[in-house]
Amino acid sequence: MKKLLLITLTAFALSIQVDSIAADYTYNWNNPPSVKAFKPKIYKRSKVSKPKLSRTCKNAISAASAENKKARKVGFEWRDTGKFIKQAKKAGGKKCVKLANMAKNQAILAQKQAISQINAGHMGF
Amino acid sequence: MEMPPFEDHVEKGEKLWKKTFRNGKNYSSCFSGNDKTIRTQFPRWDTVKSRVETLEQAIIDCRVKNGEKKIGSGKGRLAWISAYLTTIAEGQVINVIVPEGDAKALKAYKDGKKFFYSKRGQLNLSCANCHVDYAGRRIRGDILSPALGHTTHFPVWRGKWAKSKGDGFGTIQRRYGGCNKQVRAKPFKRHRKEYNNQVGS
Repeated sequence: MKKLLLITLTAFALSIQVDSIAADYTYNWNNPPSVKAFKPKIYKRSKVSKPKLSRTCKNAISAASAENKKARKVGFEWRDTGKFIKQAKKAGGKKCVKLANMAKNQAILAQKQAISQINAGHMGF
Repeated sequence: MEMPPFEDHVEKGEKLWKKTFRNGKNYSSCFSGNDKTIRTQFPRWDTVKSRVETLEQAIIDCRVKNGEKKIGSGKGRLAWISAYLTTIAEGQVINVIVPEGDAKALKAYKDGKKFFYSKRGQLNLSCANCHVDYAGRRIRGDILSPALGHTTHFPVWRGKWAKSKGDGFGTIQRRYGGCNKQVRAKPFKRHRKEYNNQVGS
């Protein structure tokens, strides 16, 4: 008997709760909510903060940029050197120094290439 | 080739060429001689501006002179018009003359020649390495074309250019940029002296 009473009470309590939840979500046909109410919220994209570059990283980037500028001036800049410098600026940390040094090495090699091609011509290619 | 994919755009180029500008003039008014011989006049040395003048640059200059907007630099409508002029000039000789006694013209010619033979980029290759040394051989699926005739036979239609975006047409300056990228050198801007001199020489 006790069990039956317990089950009946539980069922009654649950049915009341379901009704109250359903009542919250009923659509009012006589007074429908405005369209504005359904307008989705637009969240502004938060700005991605640039990584703080260490002094060694900044020095490495400026050295690479200076060397690349020299290579560009003689018309022998390589394709990926500028990309490496850009990536270094974004990366920060150890990767920044690694990329900047790679760019610097490329720029130096490009300058050497320019010197080696001063007398480029028919016979020398 | 059956159903050449470029014919439509050559015809479009013809229509554009014959279209009058807002001031009533047309492209022909900017050039001397018959339409069929215009292509054979370029590239040439412009003594007034002291630079090599290409057909595409002359078309752009013509538009600007007549109050029209520029149309690209190496593909699209500019390439179609150039392709039309090249098609109607087929079979004629293009003779590029370096004026005697003009030091600037001779320098431009030598600069262009030097550019052609200079190794550049991370792959350390010159234009001549592929198009003189190995012309006719295969580079993967493609056959390397000989340099002789490059400047007279562009613009061209390339499957690669049609695949990515666009109609597949491109001028020689577009191709120069692509070649430079392939040897991992930074390409120069189109219609600047580096590429113009190479077209001229």
